[in-house]
Amino acid sequence: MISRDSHPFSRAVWTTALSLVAIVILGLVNLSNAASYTGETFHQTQVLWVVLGLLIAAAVAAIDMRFFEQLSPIIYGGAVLLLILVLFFGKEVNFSRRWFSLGEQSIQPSEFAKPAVVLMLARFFHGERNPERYTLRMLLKPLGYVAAPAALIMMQPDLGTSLVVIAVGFSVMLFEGIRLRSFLALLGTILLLVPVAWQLDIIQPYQKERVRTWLSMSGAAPEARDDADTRMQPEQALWAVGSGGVLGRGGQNAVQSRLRYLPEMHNDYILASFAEERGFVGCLALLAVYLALIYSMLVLAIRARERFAVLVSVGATAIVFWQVVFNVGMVTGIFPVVGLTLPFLSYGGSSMISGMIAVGLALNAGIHRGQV
Amino acid sequence: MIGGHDGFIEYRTHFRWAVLLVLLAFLVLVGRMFQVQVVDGKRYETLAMVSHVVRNRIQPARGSIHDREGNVLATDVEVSDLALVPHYVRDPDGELARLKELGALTAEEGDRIAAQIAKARLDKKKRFHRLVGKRNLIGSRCPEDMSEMNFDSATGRLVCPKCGRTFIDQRAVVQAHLHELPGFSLQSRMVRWYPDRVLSAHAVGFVNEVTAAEVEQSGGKLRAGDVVGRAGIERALDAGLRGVPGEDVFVRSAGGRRIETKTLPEPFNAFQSSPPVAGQDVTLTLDLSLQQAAVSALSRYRSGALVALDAETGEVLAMVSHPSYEAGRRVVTGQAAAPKNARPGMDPQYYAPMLNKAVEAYPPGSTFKIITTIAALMEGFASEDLEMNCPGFYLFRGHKFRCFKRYGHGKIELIDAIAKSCDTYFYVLGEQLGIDSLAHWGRDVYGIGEPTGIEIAEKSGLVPTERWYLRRKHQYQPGFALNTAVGQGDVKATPLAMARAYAAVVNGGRLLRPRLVRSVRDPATGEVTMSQPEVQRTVEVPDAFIDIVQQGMYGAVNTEDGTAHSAVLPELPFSGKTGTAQARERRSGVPAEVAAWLQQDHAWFVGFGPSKRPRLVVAAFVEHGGFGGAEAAPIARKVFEAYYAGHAEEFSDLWQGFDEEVLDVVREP
Repeated sequence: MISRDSHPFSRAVWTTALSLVAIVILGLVNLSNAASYTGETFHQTQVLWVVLGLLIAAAVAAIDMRFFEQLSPIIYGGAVLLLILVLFFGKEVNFSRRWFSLGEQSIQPSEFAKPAVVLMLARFFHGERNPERYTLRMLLKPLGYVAAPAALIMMQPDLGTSLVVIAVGFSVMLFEGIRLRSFLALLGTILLLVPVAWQLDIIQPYQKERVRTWLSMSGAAPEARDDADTRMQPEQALWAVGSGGVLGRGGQNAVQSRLRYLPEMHNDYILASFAEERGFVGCLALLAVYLALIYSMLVLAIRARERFAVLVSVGATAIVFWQVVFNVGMVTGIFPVVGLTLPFLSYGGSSMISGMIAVGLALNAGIHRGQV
Repeated sequence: MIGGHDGFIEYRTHFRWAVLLVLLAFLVLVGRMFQVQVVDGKRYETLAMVSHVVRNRIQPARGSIHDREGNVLATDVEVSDLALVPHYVRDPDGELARLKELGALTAEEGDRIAAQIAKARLDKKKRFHRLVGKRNLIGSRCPEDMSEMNFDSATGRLVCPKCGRTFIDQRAVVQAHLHELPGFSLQSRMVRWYPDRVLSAHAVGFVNEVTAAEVEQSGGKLRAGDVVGRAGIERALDAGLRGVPGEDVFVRSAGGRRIETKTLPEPFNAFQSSPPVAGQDVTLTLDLSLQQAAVSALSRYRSGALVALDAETGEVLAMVSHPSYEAGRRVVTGQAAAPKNARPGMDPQYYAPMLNKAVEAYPPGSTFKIITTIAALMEGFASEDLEMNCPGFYLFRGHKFRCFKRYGHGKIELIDAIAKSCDTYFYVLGEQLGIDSLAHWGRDVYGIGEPTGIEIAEKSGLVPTERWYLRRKHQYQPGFALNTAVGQGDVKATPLAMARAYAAVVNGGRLLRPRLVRSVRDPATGEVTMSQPEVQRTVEVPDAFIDIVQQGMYGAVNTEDGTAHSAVLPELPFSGKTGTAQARERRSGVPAEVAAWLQQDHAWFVGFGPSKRPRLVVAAFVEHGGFGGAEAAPIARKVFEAYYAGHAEEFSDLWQGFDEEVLDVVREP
């Protein structure tokens, strides 16, 4: 016991930290490549975000978990308030209000809603007496905690982030333990709601178009020029990924990226550019590092001494996990387009810091094991 | 807590499930990556490539067509269309009003374009498609005759030197005001221009835009908007004239920028642009002076044709069909215009202006008697001194076969029989020869009833045999041979085939392929390929027999009683044979005047000149024109005159009957 405690950080902590650093470095290199095609300098800004993000992750990891537990209602409330405010005062980009403008930079409150929801859920379950399995009635409150930000984010509209919030919420609840019956009932309700949302135009026309595009997307070349516009984004991305082949085309020959055919190249679709340059081997390595990060975060969660810390870490892991799954799935055409970032690789401060907070929370659980 | 406590026992199962879920999810992602990058990688790479590579076809200039002197008969000229993209037209009413104000549009054209815009704007996609608002803006060429116009600085208008009319330079005006006309643009296009208009329309032919069906059948060779030859040389030599389209290949960046393929890595640098190969320029054997002579001589008649062949080489020096049409109009306006030389009350629709009658088959009448004569001489049924008596008819098996001369020619010998075209004489020869022997000499030897092999489309004609009658008419009577001997009944020949047969009679027995193409020039290398005379077969006929025939034909034109004496050219005689072929036709729904015309005989004259040293063979044909000697022979005479004028030196030793002074005038027209 003593001998183990003489090493303040377990292996999982190291693994988490190292894989995080590895991903961040991969991301910076990739981003500077992407920037070089267009002569832009956003990779330099990204360095600032990485540094700031790492500092925040360290801070989050260092702070006593109880602090978060006590503060979680305020954090959650603040996040929801920001989500409401952004609907009115946000900057409109491409017909949606997701951003607060802060001079040159802008903040995306939905990114911060994700850890906030995790904290709130963890606090709720920590306070409960923990029955063997939760019934639906018992889950009304936590469901509300998830539904409120998810609905607000949907209204921006930002389907991708909203889905991540829902997925993260469900992950935490499932991990805590829901009766199978309750879970199936919930799942059924949601599945029933999809066609209703489709009919009532809660799902925006452009989102429907994306689903249609995804459903019709094949390996065939677009037949009509008019068609090419709506298909362009996902298909070009898919072709870029495919063009990478086994070993990748390298930075110089990544034509899809160089010719600026890739939409949102440094943002949601950064993986396409990475895949074209580094090929299957590179993607395999990248996914391996992500897997290492996610697995080690899970280990940190299960080893935590406190229910709150366990659930926070599980939620933090879920944030990273689902974003990776949705983003990679979207870029490779498994899912329709839902705009969301690839953690630590995509350009952007809010996404970077939100991801760093998540990893910081998991690390916190691992570091403060003995302090319960 | 070491080892013993690995967190909350209650979460351990869930932890395992979570790890399983994560592993499964990553397995799916890796699997998908493998599928996209390794399994289908090549295909996606190709797709990515193809979607970026822009291939624009570069249309080559269609080759020009010239006459033998190098005069342009057909060439491409550039015209401008007013194009527009409905979506980008900011203020349709205002902009159209401005265009009208500038004189580029008439009120109706403006209204039509306004309707076009309004209609296209309703459609989300079509509003971005480029439309042609008005074709053929008046530019530097006169819209009437396409001749280059002069700019009159005093009025600021263009003046046509040919027709004298003035025009606003619509192209320049629109070009200068394009900045006020958002959404409008000028689009240039090549159209086919036929400078001599009607003169050589049938031989040269015309081009038209391809149909959708043809584009489909061509397997990518043709595209909408391409033109292809539809008649005459334009059609026969279409592939060569058209050239090979080039391709401008480049890669387009997402920003729409053009990137040259050679600056890019594999596999893009493998794409290369190819320049278009311009169409071949074709020089025809036609001589415009002969062509002009024939057109003006034929213009008195409702319908007819003329072919002039160089007897030595087979070159077609003139090929005229009357009435004619204006080839260029079909391209410029999409419809044939009435021929310029139409007389009032003679609507050309009854006289088939599009038909090339020089290669249509008609009963040749007495012009066929030359073949009957040679057949009879060769088969031993006739000789120079074979005398017959012509009472005006020949009684054959109780049936009177009439000679055209009602009271007969009396006693007549072979040469005279040719000169005076005594039908009775040839009925007898026909009876003796029989129909199959006539068919042999007509078709197998002199090529009547078979294609001549000229470059353009032609009819074959026919010399019937007994078998043909039995198969087609289910009966044969020996009297048919008599009709065939005088070119009546079911014999049919094209003026071209008759001219070729006569050429073989006077050139030593060489049956030549008539040639319209003199040379083809490859514009890339500048290499000129001359076409060479082609002897299809040689006819072995003793000179003595040929001499008899030639004497007969000399007599027809140059003796007092000859059938074509009215056309005699004493200064430099030509010879020939007239033909007057019965060819009554019935056609419903035509005016009385046309119905009466259809009752007339076809008038023929096929001859050669100069008589002493035959070089030019002319076949003149007037459809339902009447008596060959009176109607067709004078047309041929005009062409002989034109030919002699152009070749005065060559025949200087043959001129006779007038003094040197006149000869000098002819020498230097």
